[in-house]
Amino acid sequence: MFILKALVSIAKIFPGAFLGWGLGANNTSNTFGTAVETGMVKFRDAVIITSVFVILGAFLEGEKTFTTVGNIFRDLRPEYVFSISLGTALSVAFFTRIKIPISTSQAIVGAILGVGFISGEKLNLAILVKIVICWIATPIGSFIIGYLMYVLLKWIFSKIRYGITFYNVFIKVGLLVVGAFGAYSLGANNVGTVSGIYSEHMNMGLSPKMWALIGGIAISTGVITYSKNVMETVGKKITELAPLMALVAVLAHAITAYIFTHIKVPVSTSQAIVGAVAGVGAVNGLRYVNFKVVTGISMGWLMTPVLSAVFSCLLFLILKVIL
Amino acid sequence: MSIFYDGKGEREVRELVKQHLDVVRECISNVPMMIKARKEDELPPREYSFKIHSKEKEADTLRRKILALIEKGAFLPTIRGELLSLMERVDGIANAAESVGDYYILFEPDFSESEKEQLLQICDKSCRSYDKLEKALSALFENFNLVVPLCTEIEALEEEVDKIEWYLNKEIFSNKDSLAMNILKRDFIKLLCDISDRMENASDVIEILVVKRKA
Repeated sequence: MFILKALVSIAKIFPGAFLGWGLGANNTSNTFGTAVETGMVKFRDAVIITSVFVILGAFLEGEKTFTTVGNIFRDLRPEYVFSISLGTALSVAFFTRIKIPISTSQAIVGAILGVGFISGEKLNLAILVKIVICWIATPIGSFIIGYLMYVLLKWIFSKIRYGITFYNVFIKVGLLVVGAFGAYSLGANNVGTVSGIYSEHMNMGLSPKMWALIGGIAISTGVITYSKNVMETVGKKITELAPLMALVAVLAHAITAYIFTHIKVPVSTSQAIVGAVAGVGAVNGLRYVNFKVVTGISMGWLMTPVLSAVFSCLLFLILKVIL
Repeated sequence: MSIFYDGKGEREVRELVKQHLDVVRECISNVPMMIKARKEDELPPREYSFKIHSKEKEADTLRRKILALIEKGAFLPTIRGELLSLMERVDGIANAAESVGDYYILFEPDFSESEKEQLLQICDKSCRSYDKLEKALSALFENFNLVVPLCTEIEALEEEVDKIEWYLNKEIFSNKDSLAMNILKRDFIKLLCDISDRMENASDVIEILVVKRKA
């Protein structure tokens, strides 16, 4: 009886864990992609730091975003949660396989909306509006933070005496510290994507803290086992940035994600990093920002929630027929 | 780079670069002494050429040690390539001095006192240029802001050397020596001026290294 109960629990948790794994595999690239691809940080070290800090961030602050994601629809049954998580996980895994960084928070909201609407549940419009506003604010916020931080750093560097020795140490240590903070922010902000609907709608006797820990561990598993692929894609794209600019961009994206954790909305770290890179690049003039690339990425962001909604709705309909 | 970073490799590279610069300086400072020396002197030109040779060898050994340290992981990978190229160029200055020594001993071009005077001017400007290069390299490690003005000064000195070279060649080809001797002299002057050319090339790499890394 106990084994059966455990098996049922595992089956319930599996889609969420799968989603966490996909998130870890897909989004680690935003914090350490450039550093690893340029050889400035070893992949092994990046994975260790990310895993530890993702779990820390998830456990200490992750539950802050639970109520937002979990309450887009007021009442979601366990089978809905199952379809939503599995559908999102499949779409994230698909994009990870083809080495494209995507927004898992957008993917899960797309899936929730899809399943919620076809099941006729009551939508909490205020939360949805808040989430959409935060999505729009994420790249804009990280653009502004990246821009201001790079201007400030340039000013500080113009006032101090430094050579290649200091520069070398600053970048090396900075990459590790900023990477760790990025991983912490990822865990704190994005674990809501993985565990939010479980904590709010799956009555399995676990506290939000425990759900956050499980989510954090799932994300870490993705980081350890499958993050290299997307890291290569993102790393090579951002390599053209000078190391100092890349460092500021990673820090700006981490700060943005951390701010949104306190606003209680899980946001896309992929969008945050693109906004931050554009912001840092804009310090030398807006003409240096490749708006064509930014538009292309934005189109990809629109596709993510649509695709995961389609996956989840299909799963939901299949489950409805079976059950 | 490992999580446990102590900067030991970078410190060793810095120390070796200093030693390498000192040895290269000894190479080029022997060139004017070689030109001044006469066969009947206690230290004839040949002895100076040997000194340049042995110092060039020493510089090579140091350069290889620096390369090995950088290959082992000292400095960021994005800096390594340019640092290696810089060390090659600084070492090239010692190679150029060695070529000058070899040529001088092998062909013994017979310069007049006035021509020698101008050769020594070229040497003097090259040594001054090397002072600036040493300072620029030191500034590369400690203070980026000083690098570009020093590199500009190196460029100006190189232009002065070119000017002397041009007038000296003009003077040589207007004298009554045989054409063969004049060509030998011209080739020697070309080799001598190559020393300051190489200093300018090294300073270009330093300048690029700094400009790319300034915030």
